[in-house]
Amino acid sequence: MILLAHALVRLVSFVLLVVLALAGLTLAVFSISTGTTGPSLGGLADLLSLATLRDTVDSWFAQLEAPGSAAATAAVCGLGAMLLGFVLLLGALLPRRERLVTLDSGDQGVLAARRRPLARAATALVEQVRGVSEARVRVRPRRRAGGRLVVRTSRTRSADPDQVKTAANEQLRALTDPFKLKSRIAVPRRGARVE
Amino acid sequence: MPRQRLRERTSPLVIIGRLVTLVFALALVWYGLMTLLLALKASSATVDSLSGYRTAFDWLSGLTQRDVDSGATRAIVAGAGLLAFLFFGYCALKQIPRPYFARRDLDLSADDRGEVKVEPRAIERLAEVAAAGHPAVTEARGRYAIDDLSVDITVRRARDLADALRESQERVVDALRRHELPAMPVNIILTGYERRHRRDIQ
Repeated sequence: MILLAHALVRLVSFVLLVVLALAGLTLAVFSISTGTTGPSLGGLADLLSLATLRDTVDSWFAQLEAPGSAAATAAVCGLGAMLLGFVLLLGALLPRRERLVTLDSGDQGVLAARRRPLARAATALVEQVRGVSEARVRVRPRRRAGGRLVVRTSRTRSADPDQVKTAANEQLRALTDPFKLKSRIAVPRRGARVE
Repeated sequence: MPRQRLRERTSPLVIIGRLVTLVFALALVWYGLMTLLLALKASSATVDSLSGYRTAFDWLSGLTQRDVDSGATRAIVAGAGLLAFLFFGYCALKQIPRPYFARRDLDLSADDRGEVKVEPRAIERLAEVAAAGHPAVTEARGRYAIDDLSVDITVRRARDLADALRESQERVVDALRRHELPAMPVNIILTGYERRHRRDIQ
């Protein structure tokens, strides 16, 4: 579905740009002379039958605004347009590849990480903290480089939340200090008892 | 060529096409919704105040030849049309994909006596062996392309992650140099973390 949306976006982008370019050229050419004949804007309006188009659209608007059977067709067209618009929005906004976390880049190349293994490594570090019974880490990559480690931990009944937070931060320094990573740690709840 | 990879050269101007499509998509959603509202017999005055469909239509249908026939108007229209043609035409050209095979033999030398080439798999294997030589790396997989050499690695120690990534890169760069292969960007990508033991309860 996403692949299809991406392909559709590429096709529509090209077609729209070609249409815009040709429309611009047509307007430029038909601005050469005046009147309603030859390469004039009046001539272009005649060529495109804009008067007929105006009457057609006007009568369609009138049908749409008045009670009648045109409403069903219009509703289907409206829904279809919205669906196509949403597909194009998906294709234009969703990234094409999996977003990697760029940890460092230099002349030798790039150091990067997939989000899940990086989160698992961070989880392993946080779960070594005394008093932490469970940790969940999510990695949010930044657009250019670096990212944020969002940590939620469960603590044992006897553990002090501030101490857990400080210790978890200390543990994560193995990841955050060498790279452009920042951590945000929340110790919101008491979790399962550790025995 | 089962390992062949197809890449494409993209221009920064692709973003213009994306923006135009984005605006078009938003217009489709918005005016689709307005059509739906009209079909559901919402007040046309309300829909017009939201979208301006009637106002725009009335303004356009009220245009006469006299409005567009003056010299200044035509000059502005012609200039804008020409600029639009050049700009959007150039952007449209840049949208055309330019694919190429990224995984090719590396030509080292060619003379009267023949050619010296290195197959991509040899370079990938070299990188894999160099990276996997690091004690924290359990698995390495190379992907050679003419632009760069990427190595996907799996590590086993979270604490040494930064060193493992940096040292793996240095090992691969060093291996390329030792084998007298041309220097190229070496990208190290962490694709796996092998957790041997669950946490020790303290």
